[in-house]
Amino acid sequence: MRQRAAVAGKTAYSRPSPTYLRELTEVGRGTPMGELMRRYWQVIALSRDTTGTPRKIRLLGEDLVLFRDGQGRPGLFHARCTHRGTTLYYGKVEERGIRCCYHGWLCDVEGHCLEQPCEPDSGARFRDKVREPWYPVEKRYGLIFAYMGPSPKIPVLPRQSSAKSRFATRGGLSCRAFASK
Amino acid sequence: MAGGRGRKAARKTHSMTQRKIIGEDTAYAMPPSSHRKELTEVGRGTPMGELMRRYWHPVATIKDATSIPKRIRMLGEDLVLFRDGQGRPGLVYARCAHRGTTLYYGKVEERGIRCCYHGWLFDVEGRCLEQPCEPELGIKHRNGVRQPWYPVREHYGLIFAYMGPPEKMPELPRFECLEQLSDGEFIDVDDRSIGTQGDVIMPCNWLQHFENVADPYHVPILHGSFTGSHFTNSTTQMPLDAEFAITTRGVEVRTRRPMEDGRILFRISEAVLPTVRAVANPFAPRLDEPVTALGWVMPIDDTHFRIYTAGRTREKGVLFPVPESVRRNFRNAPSWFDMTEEERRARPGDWEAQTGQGPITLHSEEHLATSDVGLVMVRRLFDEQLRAIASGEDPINVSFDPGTAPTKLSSGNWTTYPPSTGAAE
Ligand code: FES
Ligand code: FES
Ligand SMILES: [Fe+2]
Repeated sequence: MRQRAAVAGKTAYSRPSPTYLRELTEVGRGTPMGELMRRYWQVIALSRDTTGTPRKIRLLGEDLVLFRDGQGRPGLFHARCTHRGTTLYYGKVEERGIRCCYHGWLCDVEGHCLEQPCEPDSGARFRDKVREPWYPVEKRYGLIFAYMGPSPKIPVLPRQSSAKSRFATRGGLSCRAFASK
Repeated sequence: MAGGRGRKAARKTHSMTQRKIIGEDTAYAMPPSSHRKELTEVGRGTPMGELMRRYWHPVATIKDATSIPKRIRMLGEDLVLFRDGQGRPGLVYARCAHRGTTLYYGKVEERGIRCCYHGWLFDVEGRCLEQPCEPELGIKHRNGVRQPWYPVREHYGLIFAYMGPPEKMPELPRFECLEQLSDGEFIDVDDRSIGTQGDVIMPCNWLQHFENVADPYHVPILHGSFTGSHFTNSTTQMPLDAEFAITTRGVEVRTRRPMEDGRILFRISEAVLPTVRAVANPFAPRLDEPVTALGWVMPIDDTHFRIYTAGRTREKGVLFPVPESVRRNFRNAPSWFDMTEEERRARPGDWEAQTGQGPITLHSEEHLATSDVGLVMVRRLFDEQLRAIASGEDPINVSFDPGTAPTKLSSGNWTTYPPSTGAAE
């Protein structure tokens, strides 16, 4: 027992510090994979979950709010109101868009500001100069797709022939059922 | 039915084969965001932290200072408050000067607070009185150590602390509305953050609340048209007009609204630097007298604050009386604490709007409009004070003269505007 115990080879002590492939995994704004992801339409919700009640969506590291206006159009916004930044999650959905709870700015699904009720003439002079940061969304296959990339690079919303035929013959099939098949 | 939906889907698919064209300015093009650090961050050594450290701030009510040590977090510093056996309040840095365990576990004695670890005893000004593990209780060395401490004063039912440079310690602030009491009135305090419409500790930056004091236009929306009046029907109407002014003590906001009896309500609110909210009772039960209660916004750290309120009242525990007629509509609504997440989403108030701006709002993303003039003034006034202390001057609202008269505010619910008391030269 008085002899020194020798261990063969390297132990876990000498392992190098681990790393991961950032460029393949991280998806925030301005990262390589983030930029790649932003060249595609991404599924963000079921169409039937897109309603007159604002819904929090977190995608590619961005906090967003999804809703459907009174005319049935889905809208996807940066969560922070372009006025002073409170979240549009507390907003109220109306016929023409979503209204912020704090000072009542109303924006349509493409972020155009339609009303600023605390400003003279409801902001007629100023409101066209602001735009709530928004992303284009499309409904297909019972899903809502969003495009979060550079505008000139917006691709055609992809069609899946298998999904299309399923939906063509079995319309209303839920995403969950589809996934479990 | 399934077949019908299928046909519809197919039709839509057909119409979508064309590529969508969108403008340049989607959220993708947003520049990176930032907040104004110099206006919001209050830690040691920061510009606003240094400005805040030129003033007395309430950090507790006088009842909070007892023989049981209480944790206080203020301006990003962890402190311990206690009251020694002789009745003197003490506010010390939480880490013991010996080897750093927290004095929150200390034992309060006649002469001070004793650390649990090796028993060093400190008085309310941090002097070390005993070191029981040293020869002769540390008689040779104990005078060379001092527990970091801050001066405190008991005033208006609150414990005020001064955390700044000793040579710049001003007189305690005094306000006429808290000193001139009419028959049957007394000063009472509230530590539940009146004005946040929610939880006591609010998880966002203090300035989001303080500048809201100079934002009368959120009232007709957030507290009015959005989900129904939070106050009285007259106080939550869009004002007939609003005037904003920088005064000798802060920013004053004047609004006029018609009352139900046909008269006009002249309402004045003031944001008194650095953190006092002089906002009259929004239920306006008493007209033509100075604001009854003042709230101090306490910056706990960069992303939390709470509010201590002191006011004149005739009824213990009631600083903002609600008239019976309004109580029926308003108070029967569930309290914030009883509301579900969904109910809070559907009926937002100040708590939701201000925490909804995030832990520290992103000033770079804002689009301020003409109705934001009040908070623009608040920010400008803070900018001026930051420049003043940086160039060696004293900031607004500090006095070194013990004979200074209490500040007379304009705030209140009036039937005509009172003469201005703080017009800036
Ligand atoms: S923060 Fe949205 S309208 Fe003011
Ligand atoms: S750490 Fe406090 S006495 Fe030792
Ligand atoms: Fe409010």
